[in-house]
Amino acid sequence: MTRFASALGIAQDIRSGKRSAASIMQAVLSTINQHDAAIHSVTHLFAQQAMEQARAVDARLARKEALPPLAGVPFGVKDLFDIQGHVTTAGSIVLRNTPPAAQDAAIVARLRTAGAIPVATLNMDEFAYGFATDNAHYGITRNPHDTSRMAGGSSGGSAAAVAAGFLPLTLGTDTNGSIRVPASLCGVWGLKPTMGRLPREGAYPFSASLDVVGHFAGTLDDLMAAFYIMADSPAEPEPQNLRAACLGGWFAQNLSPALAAAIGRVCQHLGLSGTIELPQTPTARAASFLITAAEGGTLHLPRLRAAAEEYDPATRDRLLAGAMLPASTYVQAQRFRRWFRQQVHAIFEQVDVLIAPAVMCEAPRLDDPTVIVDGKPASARANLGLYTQPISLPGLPVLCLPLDNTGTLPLGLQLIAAPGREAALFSLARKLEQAGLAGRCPLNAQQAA
Amino acid sequence: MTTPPFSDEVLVAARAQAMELDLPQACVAGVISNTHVLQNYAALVMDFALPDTCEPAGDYTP
Repeated sequence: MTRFASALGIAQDIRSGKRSAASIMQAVLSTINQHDAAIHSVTHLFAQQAMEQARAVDARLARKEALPPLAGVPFGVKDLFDIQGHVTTAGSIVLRNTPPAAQDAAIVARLRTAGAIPVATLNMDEFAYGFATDNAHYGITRNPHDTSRMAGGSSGGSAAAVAAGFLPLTLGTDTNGSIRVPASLCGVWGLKPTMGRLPREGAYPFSASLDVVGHFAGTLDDLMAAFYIMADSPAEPEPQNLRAACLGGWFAQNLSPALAAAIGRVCQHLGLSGTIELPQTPTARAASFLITAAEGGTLHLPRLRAAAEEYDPATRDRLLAGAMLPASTYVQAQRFRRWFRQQVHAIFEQVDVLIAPAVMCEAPRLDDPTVIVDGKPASARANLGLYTQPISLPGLPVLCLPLDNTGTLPLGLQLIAAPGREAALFSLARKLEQAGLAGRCPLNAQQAA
Repeated sequence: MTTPPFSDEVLVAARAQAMELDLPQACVAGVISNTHVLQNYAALVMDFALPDTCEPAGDYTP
């Protein structure tokens, strides 16, 4: 059984000779070919190359060579990471005639060095500008837990492919929540590392001030192992006796009853009472929004002047509006960013990990894409980032944790730490996993068949 | 005498003209709508008083 297998489990099976890398790759490709039509997570399969690389792993094992830690492990990439020899479109058609990538993106190369094999590119909002993975050119990615619902975005294909059990590990990017929102809606583990901790080379940019590359996994162990490989650093010890606190105020409003109850159980288990409030949270969200719009718009302006009609209309209009923002607005947003960072860093003198919701509710329906904000239905696309956008501004590491045993469709939490303290996130996540409060949300039997 | 506020439509037309940006007709309604959203966010940020010594985060590190 390959579907839903973990990356570390696959690597162990290959290393021990229990299964060949080729048989695993064949099974992965077969599963995707058979089941992806229902959710549309994949935009391109590297079937032939992946099989060749899997056979090469088997040949190394036959020669009794030592295998690297992820030898033979299949993974997928959001369709904005360079794969050598493949055109990187970033979910667009306007880039489809650009030259193929001369080399892999940096974190793809590090995974390859560790033996992992890229299998597929995965669907996304065009140029990563959205929370829906509703792409005018490549279609809508649907939630594997309920295909009538949104997978979230912009790395929706990456989250859905893990949730559906196609791939144990996928890459994504997060500017305003593009890993955390789909991880939450699809019920998988997601990590937005500290800004700058993983190299961005070879990832098509969106907003240079905020873009972070990261990943999704079906297990916490896979999430951690892949992180340290991509960071090119040894695994750090998980600190104990962490001081945690829940964020209140903005982050305690608009929660669905099921999510509020789940957060209550987490707080009870950790013995937390009271909350901490981030200062000026609505302004932090606004600054993040403005910086993204201005930088994304400016990046695309020359191409929009020449070929606006080749853009997804929704992306195009957002980018054009952003390109026309006054410099004073952008600079003020960057000044606020510095101020906000100082306030947030001061909070981390009192606590090690902050806990906040990732998205306010279960995945919205595709035919009724709304969420409840201030008691009224509001656009899901405009509000799915309500809790992730303010956290993007200070560049902190954030782990998106799938809540377990909620009795609902997937719900997620953000665990937030000071810069460089990913190990603290892993430690608290482990504690919640061991308590039965966190873990990948299983598909029901019919969906997993 | 107070200056009446720009409508988003006038604002978008003026900004596009200043940038010599020829907005395709199909874009205009969407750009106006998005500009309206951005104007609301900009008001929040611009109204927040910061000390003169607070520099933009151009050399930003987390």
